[in-house]
Amino acid sequence: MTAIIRAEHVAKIFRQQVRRSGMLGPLKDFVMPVTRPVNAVDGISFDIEPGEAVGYLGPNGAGKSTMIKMLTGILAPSAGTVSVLGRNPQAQRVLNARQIGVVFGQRTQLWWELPLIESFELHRRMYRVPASVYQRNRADLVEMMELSAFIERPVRHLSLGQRMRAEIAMALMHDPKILFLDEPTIGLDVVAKDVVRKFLSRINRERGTTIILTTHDLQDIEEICPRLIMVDDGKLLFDGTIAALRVTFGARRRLTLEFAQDPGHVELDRAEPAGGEGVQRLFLLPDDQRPLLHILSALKAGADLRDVRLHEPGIEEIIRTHYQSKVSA
Amino acid sequence: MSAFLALVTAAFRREAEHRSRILMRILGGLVEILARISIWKAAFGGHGTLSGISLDEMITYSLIGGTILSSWDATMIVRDVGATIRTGAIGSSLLRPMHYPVMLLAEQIGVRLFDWLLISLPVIVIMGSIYGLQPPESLAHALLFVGYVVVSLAILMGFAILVGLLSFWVFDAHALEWFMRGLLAVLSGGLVPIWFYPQGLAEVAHALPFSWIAYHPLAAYLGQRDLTEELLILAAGAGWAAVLAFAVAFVWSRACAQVVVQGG
Ligand SMILES: Nc1ncnc2c1ncn2[C@@H]1O[C@H](COP(=O)(O)OP(=O)(O)OP(=O)(O)O)[C@@H](O)[C@H]1O
Ligand SMILES: [Mg+2]
Repeated sequence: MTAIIRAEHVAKIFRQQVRRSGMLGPLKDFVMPVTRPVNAVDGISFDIEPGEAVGYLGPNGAGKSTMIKMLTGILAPSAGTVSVLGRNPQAQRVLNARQIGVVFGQRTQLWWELPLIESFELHRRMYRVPASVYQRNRADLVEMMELSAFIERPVRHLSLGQRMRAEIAMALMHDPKILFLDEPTIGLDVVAKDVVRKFLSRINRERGTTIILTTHDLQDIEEICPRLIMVDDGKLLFDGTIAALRVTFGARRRLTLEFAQDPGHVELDRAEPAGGEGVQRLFLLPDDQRPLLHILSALKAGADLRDVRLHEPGIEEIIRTHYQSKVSA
Repeated sequence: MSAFLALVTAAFRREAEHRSRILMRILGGLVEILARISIWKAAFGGHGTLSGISLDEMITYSLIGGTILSSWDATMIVRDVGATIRTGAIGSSLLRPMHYPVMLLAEQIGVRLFDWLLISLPVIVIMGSIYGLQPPESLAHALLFVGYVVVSLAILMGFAILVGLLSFWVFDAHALEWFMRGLLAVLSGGLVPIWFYPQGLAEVAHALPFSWIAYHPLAAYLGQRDLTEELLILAAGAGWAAVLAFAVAFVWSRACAQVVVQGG
């Protein structure tokens, strides 16, 4: 299968103007501007296959939005190439736009003053969606995203959560092959986040729409994206599954054992003791896929085990550990 | 085409949302026309004609030149495009499968149609019933005038979009806006007909496309020239509109490659 999205050694360098201080500062800035390069994206490569759902992750300023802009054709890379559906998205922006759906959480694609339903109508005409396809999609999307209560209201009267659901619905109205989302769950409450996540993973499963989304909420990624791309400071840190992330960043499962009385010295095969005393003991388990029973069978026969708890580190934890280790390094 | 019309309609409806503004703008229009007419009355000072133009003709010139052929509001495009770029809202437009200048044109036509219908028309009716509005010279002149209005709109929009696109390079759209406003006030002949210009300035005005925005359509309306001459001038205006359209397409292709979508 050939990649639907391909980035090859992509870089984007912004020139940020350095402001000088003092009374004459603005004058100097005008006559002889001094700029400083910012490597927002720094030599990133990846391939995405049709039907994948990929989470694009990284701290603030890591270059996520910049990458999405380049993939959607509204920003030209400074170096390297991006290709989306076999095209250069920037050179063939209009053709590309017809086949992708884009949601920027920070920005609206809807027509602010018009009732929501008219935004959908305008969208239909711009994307030349055949009437029958449009009728079907609109009915489906309005139902799945629960838009019917406010579809007649002007967009400017919608709450953030309502608007975001509408944005996502509109981005899918023309059956795009790829859906790009830049922070689609920003500012949503728990219930709305849940609706959006379930919806996106359903679209990915049922329609086979390729999804690439950036987020700071790692639960988005756990629920929608089997694959994860992590960037920091413009550079690629990790590309793979969440399980692989655990291995790469050495995040291990934590086992807590509780005994009826102090068992004395406890030793488990290949598990590293991680504290605890008296009746409670902690261990870090290696990533070797051994069943838990197998591990526990190593306990002394007489040990009076009361409770066993296994803690899987979430990606949040993994990433926090990683960021912290970077700060302290 | 259907997308274009849909955008025109959407812009029209969006304007209609700001109902409270309509009354204020009609009042403003009335005051402006009143001022223009008073100035012309003073200028004529009891003379029957000036350079072969009667006061009644000048009143008609002010009524139409100050409303449907006014270039004042068109300069807003420059401000809008500038703000769109500065805030990064341009990103939303660029994500749509349409060329940005075409979207701008559709939107501006919607706004313009709204203004004609809900602001210019009431002002012309009210002031016309007080001071008198001359009918077009003949039916043929009336038809030509309609053609001229289309050309006028095309040139005005083409130029405004062209200047608007310059804000991709010049970050200060405000300066561009005022430059354009001043230029058009003088060279379109909307305020003072080019008949009254000193010769040098008149020649400059004739050599540039802006005189098709207000002066040529009004001269045709008032029947200042014979029909063959009118047709030739109209064709020249259409030529200018085409030149501007090419210029917009060219500048846009340049702007596309280097636009930086802010924010995110
Ligand atoms: N138009 C611009 N001009 C100059 N520098 C820019 C511009 N846009 C972005 N940058 C810089 O590029 C870097 C990456 O920005 P980007 O918006 O891609 O980050 P991000 O990963 O989306 O961050 P966040 O999580 O905060 O949204 C930042 O350091 C930012 O300051
Ligand atoms: Mg961002």
